[in-house]
Amino acid sequence: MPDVGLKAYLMVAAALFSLGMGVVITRRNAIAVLCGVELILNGAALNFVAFNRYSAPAGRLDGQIFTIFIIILAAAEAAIALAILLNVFSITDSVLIDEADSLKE
Amino acid sequence: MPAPILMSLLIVALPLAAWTSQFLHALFKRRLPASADKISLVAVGGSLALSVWLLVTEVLMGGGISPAYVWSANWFKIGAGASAFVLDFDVMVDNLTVIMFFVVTLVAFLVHLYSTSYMHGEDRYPRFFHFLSLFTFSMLGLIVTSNLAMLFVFWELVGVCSYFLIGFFITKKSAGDASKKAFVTNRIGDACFMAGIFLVIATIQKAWPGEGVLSFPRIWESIGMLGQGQGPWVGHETALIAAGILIFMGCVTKSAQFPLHVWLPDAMEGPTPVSALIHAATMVAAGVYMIVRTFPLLAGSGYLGGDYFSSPALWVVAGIGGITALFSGTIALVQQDLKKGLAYSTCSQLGYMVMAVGVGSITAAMFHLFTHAFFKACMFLGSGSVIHAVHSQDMKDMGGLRKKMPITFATFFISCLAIAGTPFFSGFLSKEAILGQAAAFGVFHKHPIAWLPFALTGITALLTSFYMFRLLFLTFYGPPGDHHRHEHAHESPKAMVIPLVVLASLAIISGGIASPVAPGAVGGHWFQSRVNDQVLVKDFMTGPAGSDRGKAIFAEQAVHLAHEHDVPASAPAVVHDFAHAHHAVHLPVMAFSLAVLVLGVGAAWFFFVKNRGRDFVAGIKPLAAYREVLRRLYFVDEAYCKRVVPTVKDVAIGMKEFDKKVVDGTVNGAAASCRNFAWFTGQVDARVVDGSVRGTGGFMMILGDFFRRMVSGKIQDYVQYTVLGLGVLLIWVVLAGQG
Repeated sequence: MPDVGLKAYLMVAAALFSLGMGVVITRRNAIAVLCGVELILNGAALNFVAFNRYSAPAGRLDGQIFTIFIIILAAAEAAIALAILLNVFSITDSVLIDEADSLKE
Repeated sequence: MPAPILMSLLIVALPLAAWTSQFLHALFKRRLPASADKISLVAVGGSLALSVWLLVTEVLMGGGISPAYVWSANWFKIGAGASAFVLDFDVMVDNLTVIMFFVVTLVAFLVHLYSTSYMHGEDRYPRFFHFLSLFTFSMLGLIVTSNLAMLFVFWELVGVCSYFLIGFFITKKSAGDASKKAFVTNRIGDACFMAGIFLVIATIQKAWPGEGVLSFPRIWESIGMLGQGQGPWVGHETALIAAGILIFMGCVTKSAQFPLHVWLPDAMEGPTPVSALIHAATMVAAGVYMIVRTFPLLAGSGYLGGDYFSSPALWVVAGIGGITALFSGTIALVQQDLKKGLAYSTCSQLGYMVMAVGVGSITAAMFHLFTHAFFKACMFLGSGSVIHAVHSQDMKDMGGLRKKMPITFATFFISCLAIAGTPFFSGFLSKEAILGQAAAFGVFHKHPIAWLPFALTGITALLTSFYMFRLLFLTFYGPPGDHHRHEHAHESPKAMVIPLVVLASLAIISGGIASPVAPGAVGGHWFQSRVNDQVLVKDFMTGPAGSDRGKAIFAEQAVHLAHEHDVPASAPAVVHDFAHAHHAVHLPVMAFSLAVLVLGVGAAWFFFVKNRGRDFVAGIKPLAAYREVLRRLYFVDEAYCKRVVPTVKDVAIGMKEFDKKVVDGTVNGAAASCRNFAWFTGQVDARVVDGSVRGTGGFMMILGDFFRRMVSGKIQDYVQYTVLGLGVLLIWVVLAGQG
């Protein structure tokens, strides 16, 4: 398998991030927004792994370890976010995120 | 404090106490006490007793006061240290003070007594005595004080009392007008007097800072030093002349001298006792008293050229006095109103005294003041008695009262003899003293102009005996002018007759104090030596001022009128010359005064007794025309009314316009510009300051609106902003990285 280089990884990561951000901003459904967040996190994680592979001295796995943390954190975040979402749903009877604007008050 | 000082202050204080007690009564009880007359009478009586005691113990028996008793208390001080202006309450008691005390308290007491009857039943009877007491106090204060500023204070006080009393009959318009006229006319002289005082202060204060420079002894000393070419007046001779003339202007109005005499005849609108006390015996004589006290100021400039002719202030004094004597004397010839005739006679006699001062004889002036006070007060009170009887002042309503009012007639007759200068009456000696002085003046200076004073007074002497006897004959002789009034006429009550008798006796004997045969007249006239004991004269004759040139002016003071041989051989030649001149004119003048007396009385008898009712003058055209001029008072009053009063009014109106346009205009303009400026700052405040505050607020509102809209509460918006911010950050980092 030929080596595609750091640039390709970074471009994929940036694409993931941008897609995630686009979903987070545009989608009204909270579940979709959570999906977007996962995409963003994955974009970031991919960056860590790619930089570790190309920039770190041999034998160091700092990027990979960070990525594992990110996956764990993403799981925890999703759990918490879904719990919040359930509460929001119980109050507003909807999972549409733009209807939950009581934060401004 | 020496006893005579204490006594003098008591003399002054008693009438003041009477006035104050009445005033307090009026203040708390809202009316004057009904017994105001008794309070005043007792107080003035007390003053009289003390004055007589002073006169007898200190002057008659004690051989005269020498040196004068002086006492002073600090009144106020302006400034600090050595250059402060100090004004003291100076009191000086010398022979002149004591003599004046006697004159004033005696006439005042008699007038008080007379008024209890004359004014009885009058409305505001207590008020009359209230003012009379105030006047007596002021007049006595004027005499006892010995500095110019204090004298001015009392000067104004007697002036205002005169104003109150002339206008005593407040319901009579003419009385109100007369009091205003007197007051306004006196303003002129008082303003000049004040200016003169300021000149004296300005000059002496500079040289002698930090001392009470206005006291008489200090002023005399300053003039005395001028005689030796020293002192504050050196280099300020013009100021000295001006000060002398300005101060004399005070005398011109107060003593009713031409051309400001116009108030005195009108002042006869006041009650007759007031005319006797204020406008015959005391207040009008205060002007003469004042120029006697300030004589060195008037004469001081004579040091410059070495003889009398170079003392312009004295020339003015002599000229005004002589003119007044003749001028008023002629008007008195035609007066139909008894009191006005007496008033013009008073003017004329005051002119005599002023002229005597002008020719350098303060002794003769004071002597005539002394005798005149008695016989003129007697005549006024006598005229009051007549007016009381016939209820008219016009002499056409009188006539033939000789039998009806014998005592009034007798006393009036004695006074007429006295004023006309009959031997053995007081007026003979005092008038002869003045005439003799004027004649000696002419002989001494050997110059035609120097004979002018004698010419004026000589003619006046003839007129005096004529018009006085005219008044007497018209009032007491001939057929009654009005039968109804004549029938009801009767002799006045005792309270009015007693003062007449006392004054008439004094009109005879008061001359005795200056008689060559008077007791104590060792080596000359008693009165003269007493008056000469004044500090001022002594200083001039023996003090540092005793230069020859000074003595030339004051030579008269150094010689005894009739005793040429009394002049010490050591005296300067000018003194001998003057004494010689005096001796030379002595007998001719006496003969002259006797001649004019006989001529005047004879003419009066011829016209007003023998040929009564016949008009001799009407047939002679120039004389008739002149009589008309006299009846119209030489047009002086008319000229004042026609020329001066409108001019003054025009000036006043002009001033008012000036005040309105310029002064008020300035003030109003300032106010308007203030208002405009305030409007402007208001606008700035409203637009700029408030604007910026409001603008800040508005801007914040807009900003707030914007940010409020941003804070939508929607999580996606926030994320958008974050991303946007991140994007901006990214661009900045990239651009910065490139740069």
